[in-house]
Amino acid sequence: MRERNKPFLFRLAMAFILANALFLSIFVFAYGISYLNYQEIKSTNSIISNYIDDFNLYLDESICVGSRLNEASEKLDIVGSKLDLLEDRFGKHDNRVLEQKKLYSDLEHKHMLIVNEFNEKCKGGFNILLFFYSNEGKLEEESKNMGFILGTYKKQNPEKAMIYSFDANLDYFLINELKEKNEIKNAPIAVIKGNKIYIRNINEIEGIIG
Amino acid sequence: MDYYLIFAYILAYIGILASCFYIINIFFYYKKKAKEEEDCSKRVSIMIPAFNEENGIASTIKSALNLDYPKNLLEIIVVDDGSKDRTYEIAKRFEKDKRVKVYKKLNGGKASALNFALKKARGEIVVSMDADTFAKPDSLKKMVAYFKDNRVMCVAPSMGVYKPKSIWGRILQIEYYMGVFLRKSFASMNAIHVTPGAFSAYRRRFFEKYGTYEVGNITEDLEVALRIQSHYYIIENAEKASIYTSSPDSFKELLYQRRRWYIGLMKNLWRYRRLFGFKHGPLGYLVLPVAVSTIALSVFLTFYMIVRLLDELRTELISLNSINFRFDSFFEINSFLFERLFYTILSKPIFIFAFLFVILVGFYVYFSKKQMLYKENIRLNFILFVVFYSFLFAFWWAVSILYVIFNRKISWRTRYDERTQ
Repeated sequence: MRERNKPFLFRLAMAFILANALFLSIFVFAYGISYLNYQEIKSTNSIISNYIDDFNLYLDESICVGSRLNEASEKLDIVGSKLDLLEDRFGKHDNRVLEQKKLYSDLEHKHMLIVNEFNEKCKGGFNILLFFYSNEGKLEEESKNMGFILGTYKKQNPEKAMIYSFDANLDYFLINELKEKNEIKNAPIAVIKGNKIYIRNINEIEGIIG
Repeated sequence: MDYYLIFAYILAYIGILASCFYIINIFFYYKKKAKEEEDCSKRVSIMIPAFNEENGIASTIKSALNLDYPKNLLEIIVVDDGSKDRTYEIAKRFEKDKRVKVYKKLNGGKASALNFALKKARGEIVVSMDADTFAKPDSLKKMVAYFKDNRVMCVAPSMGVYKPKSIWGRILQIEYYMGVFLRKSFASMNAIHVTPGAFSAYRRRFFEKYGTYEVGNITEDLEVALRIQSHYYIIENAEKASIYTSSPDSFKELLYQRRRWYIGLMKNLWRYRRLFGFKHGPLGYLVLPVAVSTIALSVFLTFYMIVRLLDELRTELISLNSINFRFDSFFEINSFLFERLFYTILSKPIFIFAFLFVILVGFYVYFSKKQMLYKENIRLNFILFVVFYSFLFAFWWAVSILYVIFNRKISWRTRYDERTQ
């Protein structure tokens, strides 16, 4: 019996080596793609930072061009979406994810301040919507739903609304400050025109903003 | 990580390991293989059991008569198993050719009809042939060549579905092609455990020594294959011998057929469970364990996926409702969507594994088409297979497992089987 098995055991060993190599290389490849995503986020974040710096200059020179603000906002949305993927792949506690999330929050905050300034100096009509979400357990699903409704509202009203999303569980001074200022205790929750609201339907946003 | 993902990765690993092993074995087989051989020196009896086959019996007998084999060494035994239609009369007309003998008996099932034919057969080699099957003329001599080795008790051909028309037939065609590759690979390590009932050749001596077909067994051909393996004999595969069969036309007919096959497989595997282990070579330590574990895992995962997809669909509908969904904005496609798709798919290994398996199936099909010299375009069939097969497979298995758990009886005498017996 041993003789009968001999050539096949050698082939099985070959198959074992080949299968392991293939299996591992697929994981390495997928990890490489995720890393590419991370690099892309890094470079997009730096582009957004440049947009914001440019805009600061425009405002100083009292040039009111809202389109640049929209461009930066669109890029922020894309980074937000890519961060979701990165978090999904590397995990929410991964240092790279946390680092980019903090940077992203900074950029969103800066953008928000500029929109405020733009509204004042240029008589802009952007409504600022803050969205505090959570990715802990069941709240993640609720946050996704609310984020989806807010995202759709923005898509339908690009000239009217700017939405800024913050991870309520992220341990970062800026988020703690914003939570304190807006008296946020639970997430997910949105802040629209000073009202804290748990959104279930797009009509609720339209009801407040009009 | 979700539990289902762990199971999915285990399944993917088993699949990759098994595929590598099968491909390596095929590679060594063709590296060593001598020139293609044919043999017409042995007397052959072709046994055609038929039950209500008035539509297909004539073409099946014609196909057997057209086989490129010496007339004096070939006999065709048609056994009408108590048909209620004109099967017997139609078959009887062919008796003017001295090679054809037609008998009629009381209905007793396919195994009993084959046993009847075995008693009448004079050939050293006996071939069981379904009455809805046709063979390429050179198939028989290619199959007989493998009997030069005295340890070979059975030779299976390459089975295909000829020009399928229904969606089910198209999907089955690709499944059959996969079977052609796997059967050849299994033959290279003597691990064939299922032989096509529609056309397989046996050494008659085996039946004389170890008993005939088991009457009452719903997959009598499978039982014979496992019996051959349990006695340490060899089952070979003549991959160049192309045999074509018809496929069930409706979902119901297909379900009846699969239910019988899978229940038969479960029952016979349990009965021959001693084949598992190292005593029977790769059949026992790899092929059978891989088959059992991949069936169990893939059925579980497919059902889990369906439940999850339905749940996601429900959530999606609730979400769409919450935004007063408009269809006109649904199909807005932009470059970011593609970018997101790229990262979503390629950053998740499970998607890459799925893609790899599609390539593997493509390779199996390419190999089989080449062996069988089949020239029809099967691209659409391949797409249908990739999209639907895993769901069908899981469904058939789930139904079969429920039948076994609740001990529901199943026999040959059910619709499609009545026709194809």
